[in-house]
Amino acid sequence: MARPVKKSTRPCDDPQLDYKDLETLAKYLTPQGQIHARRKTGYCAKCQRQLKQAIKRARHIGLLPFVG
Amino acid sequence: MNIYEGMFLLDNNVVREDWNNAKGVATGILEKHGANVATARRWAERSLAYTIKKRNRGTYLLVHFDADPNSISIVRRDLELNDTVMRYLILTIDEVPEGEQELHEAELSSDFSVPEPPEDHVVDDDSDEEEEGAPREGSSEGSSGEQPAGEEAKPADAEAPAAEEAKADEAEAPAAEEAKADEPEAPAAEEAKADEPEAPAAEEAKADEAEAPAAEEAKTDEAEAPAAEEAKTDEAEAPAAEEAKADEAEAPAAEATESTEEKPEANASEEG
Repeated sequence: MARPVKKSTRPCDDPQLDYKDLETLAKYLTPQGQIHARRKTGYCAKCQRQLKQAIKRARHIGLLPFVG
Repeated sequence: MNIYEGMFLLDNNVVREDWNNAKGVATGILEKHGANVATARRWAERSLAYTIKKRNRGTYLLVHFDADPNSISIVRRDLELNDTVMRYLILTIDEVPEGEQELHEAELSSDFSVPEPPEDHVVDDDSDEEEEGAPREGSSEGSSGEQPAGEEAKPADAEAPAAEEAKADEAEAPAAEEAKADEPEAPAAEEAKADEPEAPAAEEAKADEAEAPAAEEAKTDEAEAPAAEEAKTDEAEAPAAEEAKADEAEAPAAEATESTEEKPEANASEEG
């Protein structure tokens, strides 16, 4: 029987994620540099897409690691 | 005309020579294709999260400009061909963020000076240590270089990585010293071994018979020869010495039971 996924109660509140705001983005990365899942970030689909986009932009320009 | 935000990663070697020249490379490409550059300022100088074009550090240039959407593809092509711009990111934005204009003008003022970019450790293909160290530096520095709030923050950004670089230098230096130290240590240890047995050698000489040393002289000479050459390879000598020990141990073992394995070796070496 699958364990029920506990949904986060944290609201998105339109986080306005920017690829230059590394302090914020780093909070949503695992130590290996992977992006946290929605069940962990608590973001809605729209905000999660913004997070993904911002992190990938930062990775492209060398601000965040792809791995490690 | 759309408003764009461009982030350019510039080569530190060009920045070190002249910041305005490096900035002009990026803005010149934009203006060449009809863009109207509103602001252009140094965002940060920081270590990269991963090695780009064998560089571990780079200077970021933040530009806001108006341009015809059709010209962006041509601008991108020119940026790809340019060696000074290592990476670029061009995004459409609604309006130039507040405060950017002031920061841009502050950089144009005469008292603005760009801190000297720290030395970059160019990554060699052979050395794995530097490549592994690069991402760690980038991740640890994440909090220091990311706040381009104002002019005051910029020197601080440059200083922090400088300190890290210094640490990196120190860490590398002992590594090199250790490598050098290993070579002299080996012969030193061998000399010590040779010296110790010398003293008891005189005492044991009485107990030794003529047969044992005679057969062993040739072998011990071989063992000493590489030692005199300061032993490029320790492994090659060690077995040689062991053979000598083993051979010597057989002969005196029957007669001189008190002697250890090392002592007969020394006897043979003195006599040889």
